[in-house]
Amino acid sequence: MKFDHDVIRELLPEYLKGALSEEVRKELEFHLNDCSACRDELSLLSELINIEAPDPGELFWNTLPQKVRKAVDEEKAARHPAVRKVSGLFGMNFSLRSLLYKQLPAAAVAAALFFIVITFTKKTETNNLDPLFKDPLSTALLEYDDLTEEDVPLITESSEVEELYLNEEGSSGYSYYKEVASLSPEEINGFFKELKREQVKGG
Amino acid sequence: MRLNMQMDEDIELVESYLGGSDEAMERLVMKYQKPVYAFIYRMTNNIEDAKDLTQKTFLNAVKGVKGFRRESSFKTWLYRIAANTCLNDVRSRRDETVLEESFAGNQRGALSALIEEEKSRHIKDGIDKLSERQRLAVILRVYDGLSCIETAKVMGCSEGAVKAHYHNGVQRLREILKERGYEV
Repeated sequence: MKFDHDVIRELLPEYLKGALSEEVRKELEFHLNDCSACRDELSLLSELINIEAPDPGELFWNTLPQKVRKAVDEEKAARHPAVRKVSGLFGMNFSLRSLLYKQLPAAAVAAALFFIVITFTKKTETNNLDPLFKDPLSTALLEYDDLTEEDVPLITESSEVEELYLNEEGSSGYSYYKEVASLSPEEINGFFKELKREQVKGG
Repeated sequence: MRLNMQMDEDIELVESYLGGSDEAMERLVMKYQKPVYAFIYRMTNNIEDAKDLTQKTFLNAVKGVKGFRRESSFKTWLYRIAANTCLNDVRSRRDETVLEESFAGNQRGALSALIEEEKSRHIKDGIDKLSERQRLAVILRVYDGLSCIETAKVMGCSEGAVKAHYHNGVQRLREILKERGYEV
C-alpha cells in the first residue's frame, strides 16, 4: 500500500496518538524516511503536543462540579422565582418546583371532581324540590305511607265527599252546604257550641 | 469496545441526570473537566479565560442536555459546545474597546512569558494567529485526538472542510515559525 503526502499528513495525528494499525504505521514510517516535508510536519505536530496546558490546581478541579451545579440551580431559580430548593426537612431533600409539578395536577383533578360532585348534588336537590314548590298538593309527589289502601280512594277519588261538601246539590239530592246555608245565626252559634262541647274539630 | 462502554456510561449518566440525579451531572463534569479545560486553554491561550469558559461550557451543556440526541458521542457533543462557547467569547471580545483589547493583549503576553521554551511560545502565538476554523481543526485533531469525522461533528462542517482547515492551519503555522527563524 502506497500513501501520498496528503494521506500521510492526515494520518499524522493518529500516528502521534499511536492509533494506527501495524501495517499502516510501517507504511507511514517508510514514507517519512524518504520525505522531509512530512517529517517537518510531524516535528511541528510533536512540538504542538508538547505544549502543556497549565494546571489550574486541585481547588479548581475539586470545586468545578459543585460550581456548575450551583450555577444551574441559580439559573433555574432565576427563571422561576417562586421555586426554591427546600432542604433538610425531616432529612429529605425536595424542591418546591418538583412538588408543584407532581402534586398540583392531582390537586387540580381532586378540586375539579369535588366541584362537579357539589354542583351535581345541588342541582339534584333543587330538581327534586322544584315540583313541590310549584304544586305542593300534587298526588304524584305526596307520600301516603301512613294511609291504608282503603283510605286513599276515600280521600282522592270519593265522589261522595265532593257531593257532600263542595257541590250545592249532589246526585242524592242532599247537601251539607245547602243545609248550613239555611241555618239562622242563632242556630249556627248553637251548632258551634255543641261541637265545642263535644270537642269535635274540623269540618 | 472500550469506547462503546464509555459512550454507554455517558448516556447512562445523562439519563440519570435527566431523571433528577444531580450527582450524575457532577460525575460527567468530573470526567470531562480536564480535557475540556485543556482544549479551551489551547483555544484561548489564557488560563483565567480557560477556567471561566470551562465552567461556562459545562453550564451550557447541562442547560442544553435535553438537546443531546445521541447522534454523536457525548464527548463530541460536549466539545462542540466548548468550541461554540469559545468562539462566542472571542467574537464578543472583538466588540470591546481598544483599551480593553490592549489590556487583554498584555495579559496574554505576560502569561505566555511563563512558557520557558522560546519555540513553544512562538508556536502558541502562531496558533493564536490562525483563523478560528483552522485553530479548531488543528487543536481538535492534534491535541484532543479527534478523528476527521468527530472533528467535523464538533465544527458542524463536512469532513472535507475539516481536512482543508487542518491542512491550511498547519501550513500557516509552519510559515509563521519560518518567519521567526525556525525551520520546521
